[in-house]
Amino acid sequence: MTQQLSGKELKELKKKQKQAQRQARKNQAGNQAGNQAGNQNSNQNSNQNSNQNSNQNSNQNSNSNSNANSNSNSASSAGNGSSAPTSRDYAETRAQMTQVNLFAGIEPPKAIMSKLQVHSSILHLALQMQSCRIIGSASRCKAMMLAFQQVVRDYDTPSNGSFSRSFASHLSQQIEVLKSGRGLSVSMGNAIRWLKQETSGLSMDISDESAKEYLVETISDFIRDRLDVADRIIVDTASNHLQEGDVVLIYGSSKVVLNTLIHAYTVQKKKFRVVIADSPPLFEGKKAARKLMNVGIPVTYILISALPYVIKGITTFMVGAHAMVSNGNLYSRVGTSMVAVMAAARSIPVLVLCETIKFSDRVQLDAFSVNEFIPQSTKGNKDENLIFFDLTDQKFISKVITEVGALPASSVPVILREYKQFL
Amino acid sequence: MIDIKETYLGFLERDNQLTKPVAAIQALLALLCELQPNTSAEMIDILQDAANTLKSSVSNSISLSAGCDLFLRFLTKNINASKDWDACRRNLVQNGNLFASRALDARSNIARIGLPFVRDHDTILVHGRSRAVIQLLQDAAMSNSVRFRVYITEARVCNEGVYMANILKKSGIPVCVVPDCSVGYVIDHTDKVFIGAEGVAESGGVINQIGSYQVAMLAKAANKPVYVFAESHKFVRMFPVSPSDLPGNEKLEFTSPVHPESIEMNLEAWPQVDFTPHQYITALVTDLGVLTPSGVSEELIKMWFD
Repeated sequence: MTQQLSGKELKELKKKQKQAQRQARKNQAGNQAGNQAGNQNSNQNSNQNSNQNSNQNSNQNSNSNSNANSNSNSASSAGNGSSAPTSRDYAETRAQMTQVNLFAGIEPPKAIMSKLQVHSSILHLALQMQSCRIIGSASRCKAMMLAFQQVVRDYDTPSNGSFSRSFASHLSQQIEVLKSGRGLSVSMGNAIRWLKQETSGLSMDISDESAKEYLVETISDFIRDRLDVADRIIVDTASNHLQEGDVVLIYGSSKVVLNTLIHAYTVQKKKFRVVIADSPPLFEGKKAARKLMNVGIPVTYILISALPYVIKGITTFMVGAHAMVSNGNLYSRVGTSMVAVMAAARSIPVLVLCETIKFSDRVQLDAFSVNEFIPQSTKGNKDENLIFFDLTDQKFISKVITEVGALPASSVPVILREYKQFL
Repeated sequence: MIDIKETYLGFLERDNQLTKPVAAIQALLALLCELQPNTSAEMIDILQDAANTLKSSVSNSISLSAGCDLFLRFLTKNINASKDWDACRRNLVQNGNLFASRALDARSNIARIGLPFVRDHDTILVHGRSRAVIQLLQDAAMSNSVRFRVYITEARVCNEGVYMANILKKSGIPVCVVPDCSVGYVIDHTDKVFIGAEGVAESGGVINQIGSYQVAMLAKAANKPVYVFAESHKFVRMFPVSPSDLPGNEKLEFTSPVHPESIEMNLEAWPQVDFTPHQYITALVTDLGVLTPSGVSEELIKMWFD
């Protein structure tokens, strides 16, 4: 049979074999990454795949046990003019083609890796973030910067190196570990970029002690300016939006949103009502409800599925952000997009409260290209395929309130450009 | 010390071509000329107070506050330019006058930039009175290269439509005054909508004579372009998301008893401006050029950026 093949056919056959091998390798790798039900499964698979390979090699067309390569096999069988593909082949091929793995691009959570040089506060933080005990972009950023201060204080320069050089690599190791706990948030990424710049800008002939002192102090300033004061300015501006008799819808538990509501109620003495929409598995709204009720704000607590029933009468939707991406879209807790669309459909203003440290120059068009899985170690989460964030299109956003002013979502790139030297 | 409100109103009365923000700037300049402050902080305090009095003394303070804010911004930026007070003040007054004269030139620049928007055989719908729109249409009529007709709404509450129609008629422009309620009736026969602005908000939405919102909405529904003609000194650092966010627009009252006098509406107390959100606006023609609504926030950020 092999002798009858022309040169061209031979080439094609080789190409297909190569493809099959590549596929087999991919399958194996995929199973290992999937890491549960591990070995047995992947063994089976590799057995199957090697079966297929031998099948192809001997150019037989009995591909009843093939999984990934039925397509190429049936094609080659047609080329050889022997038995026609069965309807079962088609069904299998179709099933593979229609199966869209939306979450394929999202990295599954890993185990926290530890190294010798890792500071205990970093390890502690990584664990806290992985279990979502510290949650929220701004809080995580602040906790990280405070931990870095500790790292700076406890760092001893090796005898043969200078502080600024050796500390940069030491810092990178800490960040590696932190990253293994949970992916870095946009704000953390921005803060790290800033800190690295500060470190590399340190003069070579400055003493270790004064370098440390400088870094600790400048980190404190950073926390004050970019997080604490920024929050306060946003609270001041945003609370002016609330009017007597308003009904404010919130989703999740953004710190700056809650502070705004509390400020408007306790300091400005405005009377308004809050509707909290919540969703599993994090149920962050419960935390928010407790905080608001503690100061006496009337709260209605609903699950997100009940939103259409209560949305009439709502005057504003206020939401925090994980990040604002540079095409003006809002990247925030999963479910926000749904609430925002529903609010916008009823001409309810959608206000985003966001510090500029959360501005990202990334362009993002959907929630699948960049996302995170909610770790299974999180309380109440049993599903492995739940994602953290979604993307709200800028056309549903009325305005973004930042510490440098209120602006339409389309002006995010302007802020990134004009304030670059400060950000 | 001069009374800031009187000075402001005096400027407006003397020259009816003057816009409110420019009048406010000139009033503040006049105050600045008279001051003998000991410290720069004291001067800024006095001017800030004057600006606040001015804002609170008139019922519709949006465009006025744009001028005040711009001037104070300019002041705080330039106050430390020179050491001794006299030189500093001279410098400030000089620059302030330059600023005011530039603001006056803005309108003719708008007319120049906006001229291509008027095409032959156009029927244009105009709502409310706007000096920028008047100048543009007059220039277009004088150029003798385009023939166009204008629908003007009555623009009730202020009734400025009729006033504007007379000015345009004098320039030989064919004009038809229509009641506000018949915008829907004429919108299909209209090619484009021109409006002026009291103020341009950060989102690119405009604050303008009441009724602009509904005109813009109808135009959007009929797929007609809406052009806003506004000087860049009317850009305000304000971001209303709904008409109720505007200062001075109190909630309207509902009543049931029928009195003969309650049939006549009390137009005095009626809100004079409304807010047209940016999605209803095709483009803003300003002295800085033709901007998309989102371009306004970019200009504003640049203007307030240090």
